[in-house]
Amino acid sequence: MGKHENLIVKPFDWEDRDLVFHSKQGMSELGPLISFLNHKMVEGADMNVFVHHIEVKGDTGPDYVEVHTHDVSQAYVFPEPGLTFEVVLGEEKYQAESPATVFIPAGLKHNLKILKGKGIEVCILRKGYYG
Amino acid sequence: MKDYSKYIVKPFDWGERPLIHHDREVMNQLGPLMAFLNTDMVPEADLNIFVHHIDVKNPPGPEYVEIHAHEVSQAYVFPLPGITFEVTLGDEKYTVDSPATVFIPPRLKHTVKIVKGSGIEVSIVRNEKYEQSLAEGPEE
Repeated sequence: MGKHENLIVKPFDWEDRDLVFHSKQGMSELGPLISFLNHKMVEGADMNVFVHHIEVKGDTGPDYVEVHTHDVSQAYVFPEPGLTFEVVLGEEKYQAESPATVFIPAGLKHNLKILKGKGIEVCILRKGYYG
Repeated sequence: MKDYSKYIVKPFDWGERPLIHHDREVMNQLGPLMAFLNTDMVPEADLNIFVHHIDVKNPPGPEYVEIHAHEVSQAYVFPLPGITFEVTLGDEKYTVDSPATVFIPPRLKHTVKIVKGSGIEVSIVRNEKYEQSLAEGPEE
């Protein structure tokens, strides 16, 4: 094993593991949540990255995230077209279409709901674990 | 009511703009590099995010990044299957199939080369807070 091989990791399905502020049942309705980076996958990692594979099958997606904050910044990245989502920032609610990025400064209340479409969301938190 | 719409941004094609350590002309041969987050898009942003749309038409893909290091950590995230890439970390070279993540600690020399396939690469640099970067600038 090379000295730096531990820095290259394969993602895994988060499955039924808990995720604070999130309803795993609601999330799973949309599609699998895949863990791409955290401080357990790579010791010393100071970023947490999830990729959510999303497909809204009904009229609209479920509510699956309660309004919450983090002590570090976060970004939702929707890299490709095909998704419509609603994001709450503070007391405001916004609707947007992918591709798009939502930057969430540390301490700002937020949540997210996928309204329609199919695609992926890359969720990046600026510390090694989600919380 | 505060207006937070400034935090929702649309990506744009980096086009012909330079990118330090990268050969942009060669990079564009693989596909467009899209800026998804930086301090020009959101001044408070302490993450820098690019999405590179990649399609290697004549494998192996070209070299377009010289070996370099950052003062902060970085991650290459290949979220979907379909790409084979070669990453250099320090003096070691690895060939990896997507989906995969490469975490690059601060000051570790690295480069990446796409060997074959098509898909996307998300590059995340955990840059300093904007205020701090200003404070570290030259004194006036």
